[in-house]
Amino acid sequence: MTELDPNNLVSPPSWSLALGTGCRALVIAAALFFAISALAWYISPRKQSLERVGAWSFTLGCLSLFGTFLGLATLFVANRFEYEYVWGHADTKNAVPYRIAGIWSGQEGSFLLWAVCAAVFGVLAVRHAQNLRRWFSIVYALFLGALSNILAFESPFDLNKFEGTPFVPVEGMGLAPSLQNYWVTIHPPTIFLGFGSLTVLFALAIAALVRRDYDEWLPIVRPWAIISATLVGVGLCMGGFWAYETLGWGGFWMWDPVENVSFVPWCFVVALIHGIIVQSTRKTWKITNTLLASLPFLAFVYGTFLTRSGLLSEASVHSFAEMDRSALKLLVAVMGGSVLGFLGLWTVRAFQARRSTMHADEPGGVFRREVFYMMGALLLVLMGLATAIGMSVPLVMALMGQKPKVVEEALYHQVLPYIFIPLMLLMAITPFVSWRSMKPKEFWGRFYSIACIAIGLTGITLFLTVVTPARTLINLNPTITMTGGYKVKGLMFLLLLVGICYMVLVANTWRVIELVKRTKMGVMSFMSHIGIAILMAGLIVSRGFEQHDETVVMRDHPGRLLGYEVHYKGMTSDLADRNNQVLFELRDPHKNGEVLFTASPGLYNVRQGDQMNSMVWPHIERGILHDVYVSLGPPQDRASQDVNVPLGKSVKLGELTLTYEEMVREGEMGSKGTLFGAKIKVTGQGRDDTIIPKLEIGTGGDTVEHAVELDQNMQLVMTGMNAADRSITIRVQLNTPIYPVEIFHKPLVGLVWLGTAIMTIAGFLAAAYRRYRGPRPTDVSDSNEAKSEAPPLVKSM
Amino acid sequence: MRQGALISGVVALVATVGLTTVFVQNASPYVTIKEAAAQSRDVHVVGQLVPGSLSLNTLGRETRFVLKDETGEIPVVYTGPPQSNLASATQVVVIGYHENGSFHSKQMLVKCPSKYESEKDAASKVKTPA
Repeated sequence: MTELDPNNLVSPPSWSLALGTGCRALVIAAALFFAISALAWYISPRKQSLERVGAWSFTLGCLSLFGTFLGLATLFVANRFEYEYVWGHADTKNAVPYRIAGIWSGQEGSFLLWAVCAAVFGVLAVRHAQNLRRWFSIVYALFLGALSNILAFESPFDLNKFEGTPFVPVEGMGLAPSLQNYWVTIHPPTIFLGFGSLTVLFALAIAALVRRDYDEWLPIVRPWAIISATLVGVGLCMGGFWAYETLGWGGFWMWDPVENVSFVPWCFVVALIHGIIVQSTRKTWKITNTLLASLPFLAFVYGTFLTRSGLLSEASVHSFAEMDRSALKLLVAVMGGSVLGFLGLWTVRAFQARRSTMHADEPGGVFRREVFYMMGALLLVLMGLATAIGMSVPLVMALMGQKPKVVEEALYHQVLPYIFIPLMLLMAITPFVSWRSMKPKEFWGRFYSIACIAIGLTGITLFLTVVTPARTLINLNPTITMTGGYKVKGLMFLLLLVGICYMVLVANTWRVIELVKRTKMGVMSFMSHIGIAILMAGLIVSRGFEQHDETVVMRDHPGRLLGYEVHYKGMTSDLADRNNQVLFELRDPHKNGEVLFTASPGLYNVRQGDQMNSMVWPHIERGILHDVYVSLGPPQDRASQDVNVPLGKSVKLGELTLTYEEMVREGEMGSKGTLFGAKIKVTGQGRDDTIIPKLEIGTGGDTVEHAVELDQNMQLVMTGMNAADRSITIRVQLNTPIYPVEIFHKPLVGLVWLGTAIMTIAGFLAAAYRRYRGPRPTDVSDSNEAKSEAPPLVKSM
Repeated sequence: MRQGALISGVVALVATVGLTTVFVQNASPYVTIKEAAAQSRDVHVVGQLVPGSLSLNTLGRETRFVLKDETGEIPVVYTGPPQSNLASATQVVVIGYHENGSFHSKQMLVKCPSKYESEKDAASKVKTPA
């Protein structure tokens, strides 16, 4: 370690200082441009030429933000540690992709990323906003202006200074170790692009409300809704993959507050997509859809406030430092302003719309397709609402002035199935419901057919699992905690969930096959539902039926679990090396110790303050039917165990038995240097010998321990004795680290990847389809669908 | 339509109140040691380690220590993943339940004296890696 030498500080190069100053100026410039743009657009009806000013300053504002981002990226790639933010999130050992990932790994950078992503979509969407352009630009510019202001306070361009002079630290603090995974270079940009696109929906909704134009609004907002849902959706999945590959707890999703902050907007956007379908076919839900278009953005701003305010600091794996006070106040202002402003406008418009439009009652009947879309949208809103409430509990408790409470993962699992199951059932039924009203008998007949096929497929799957070797790899007897805390056998519940996924799969696949002859692109929505069914099945099966066990492994002391024998085989490097891996051979004890594979989970030490902390990441042995997930816990170095042994008794230590036979004494009682020894017989593992750990009593009553070696890994220390009953306390001290190892068998994890891929591709194709066909006055494909008869499923059965 | 809106509003209100109640009632509360000892449901307890009470029995994957706060002390049996920085912790949050006089926990949050973010003094910036 070199300590700071004030006489020998390295000064930053002038280009770097200039770049930082330039970027700070760009942030201020962006705020100004957006302010000018909002103002120009606002007064443009009085002076037409101001429209050009508004449009240009909007573009310039966005360009300033892009410039700022490029500037920060340059500083990161060049490792300019004179900037506090770069210093705190990068170091010289990182490869370029992780230096890029450093940009958004902290508070300031993630705000910049949010602003840049929102700006990207602002530039893209504003050209297609048509007659909504004026209010769209005003809302968008106000929001981006506010974000630029937040960035001015939460600046990533603060310099490291010593007594007022900027200097270059030798080395940065480095990127947080858990973030050094390839998903971190792609997951945040993707999901923030999604979050950025939510602003488009919000700004369009406000513009529609101001202009009371709910019909022309629809084709404009439609492709953006699908893009938002897809981007946020794929971003969520990537976050799950990151968690699975780095966190080591063996799952994708744990209802962590930051995960929830992304999930809630997704629920609302997907609700909007379905609301749009209702509106485009039935001309209802005009006002409702403006609400649905705004909720995702409002939910995300609220979530950002919740996670950045420090209220959840103890409850999340994503830790963020508390924000700069002024920046937090600005964020609260953005949140308060957009929520109150929107709700006020929306309420006024909702009452006006009700006065002005008379809705002739539609032909009756519950079994019409749009009723199902409405129910689906409402359930999605409810799902988002439930999740939002769950993550708000710490805030609710704080507002009520009570001690905090924590909503744990298990509680979400107990509440959300009541929404999830009906939602999946709707996804299974809706493809077969026509736009005209159906008779209940006809409807239930279709439902019955799909349910029968799904039950059959579930049965076949279960049968195939049980008669093949696959049965040894899964836990067929899982326990599930139901609502109210009752623990029940989970097999039936899990089979029900799997069956429902099958229903969704069967119904949508059927519909795709029927439709694909008529419209290649029109099937994309059903394809995305197939993707969701597969993804959900993957999540349910891989977690619900997982096998899990844990053990400890030491040098020369293998651990046994899940039918493996785990042998420690050393490390690839040392604990200071970030790429260090611990090698464990997994052997099959039933086949003469044949080596099945070598697991190499990562382990290295990182200095945090005064102490070294172990960083670990799991090893995943991927397979077609299941993943073997080997998770290493932080090793315990010099671990010990204290045992009290009465005279003549034995203790078990692994395979060894230690028997305390008698107490021996050397020297006079009470005099200096008296030694008390415990004669301990060691048996087991082919041993039969005696060892004598000793305790020396000094004059002042202080003691000196004389340890003895038990084997090459263990020492035996006598730490105390009771003169009255002659019992002793011995400590077993290990001189080699103990590695806690957990192994999971995760069945069918591949479904998660497959489902995500299908959902994402179908989503983008659907968005492209809406983008290029959407803005027509009458929506061709929907009216086609509306006219077409329901598929003759029942007749064909 | 007016009726529909009224019904939607009422449903939204009922759903919000209902869900809030469910989550708040069933969330695991932060309680004092005295309160934790009086019940057996899942709770969070914040406290400090009684110095010298820590015994790591990693051979059996078990850590025992005594936790104290202003209301009292309780022995804790921890069987979750090992925490490498427990001995130097200033504050510990144990999550679990009380049974037969001791607190059983499989999950723990450890707050340490210093963290990444608080290290902003100039001296730490010029340290080269050891």
